[in-house]
Amino acid sequence: MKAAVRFAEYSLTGGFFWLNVFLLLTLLHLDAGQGPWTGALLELWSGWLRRLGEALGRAGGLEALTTALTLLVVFATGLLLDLIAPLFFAPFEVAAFRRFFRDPRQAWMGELTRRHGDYLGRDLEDFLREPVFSWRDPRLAGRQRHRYERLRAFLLAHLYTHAAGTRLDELLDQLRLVRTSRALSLSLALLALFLATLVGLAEEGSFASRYAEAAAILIPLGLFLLSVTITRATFQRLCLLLSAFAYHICRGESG
Amino acid sequence: MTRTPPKRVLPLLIALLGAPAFVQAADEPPAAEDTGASPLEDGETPGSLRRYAVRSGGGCVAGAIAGTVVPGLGNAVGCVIGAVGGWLFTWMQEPEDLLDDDE
Repeated sequence: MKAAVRFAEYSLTGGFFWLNVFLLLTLLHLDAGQGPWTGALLELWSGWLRRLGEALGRAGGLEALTTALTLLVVFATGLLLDLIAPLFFAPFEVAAFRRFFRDPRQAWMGELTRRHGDYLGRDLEDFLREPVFSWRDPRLAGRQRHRYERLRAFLLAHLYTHAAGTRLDELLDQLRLVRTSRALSLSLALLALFLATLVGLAEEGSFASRYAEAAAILIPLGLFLLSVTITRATFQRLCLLLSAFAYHICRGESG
Repeated sequence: MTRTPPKRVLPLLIALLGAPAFVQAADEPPAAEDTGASPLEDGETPGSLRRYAVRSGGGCVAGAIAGTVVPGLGNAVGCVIGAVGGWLFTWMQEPEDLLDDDE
């Protein structure tokens, strides 16, 4: 991946995460009881900006350094999200990948993996036969995840190696989209987790009404479900594309 | 062949856990809070019931999100643990609140 594209992706995901943090802090500091909430919101934000301006003014000449550090923090956050997101959403991805390749129409994959049995062994058969998780064998989840990663890496490597003359732009775009959406979804899920934890620890009288109490629980739940839906939808599209490309290349090889 | 539990179990469980407490809390007349009337038992007010419901609900959602990292029933187990944690947290604070109320 080009450095500029990577920088743009990490900046986007890191920036989105800090935007969520900003909204969370706003929610924590907002005193809606003061009057119309829009007025309280503007007053809060203008106060923050004023204090930030004063702090930067006192620092004198360090604006460039502050800007560089801010960019570095945003970029590093994006990178961290990109590294953590696969761990967080792995159960959904493994389940979606397994469900996709258990479809009888994907039986051609067996032919491909048999041809490359020296590398894959019985990974595909075991992956499709065994469940994603079992209470009797808790380590099964780890093994299934390992198989999923090997199969996915194999499919991608197979495509890159044999796609001579084939344009893989669509697939590469979808791969990038999956990575970015997964990192953004993790931001949403973390925001939901913070919000739900705050609700769990809220003091008595923190909520103005029963509707506010219900919203305080339903909003984090909605954010979490949204993040899961986004991740699953983009990943399922990736599975479709991966399988379609691999099928045509596989048929081209045998034909 | 063993099937993995459907993810639909999460909202169902949350609804099952949260709904009775919310319905019970919503059914209480608002004035009861101010009068300190005790509809359940001595010392337990609608306010405290609402606190239990809200904290357990928040704990349930937080636990369900954190439980995502565990495949299978991770969400559901996380939800139950979070809800119990929220309930316990409220229960542990309850004696202090009652003392405050007495004052």
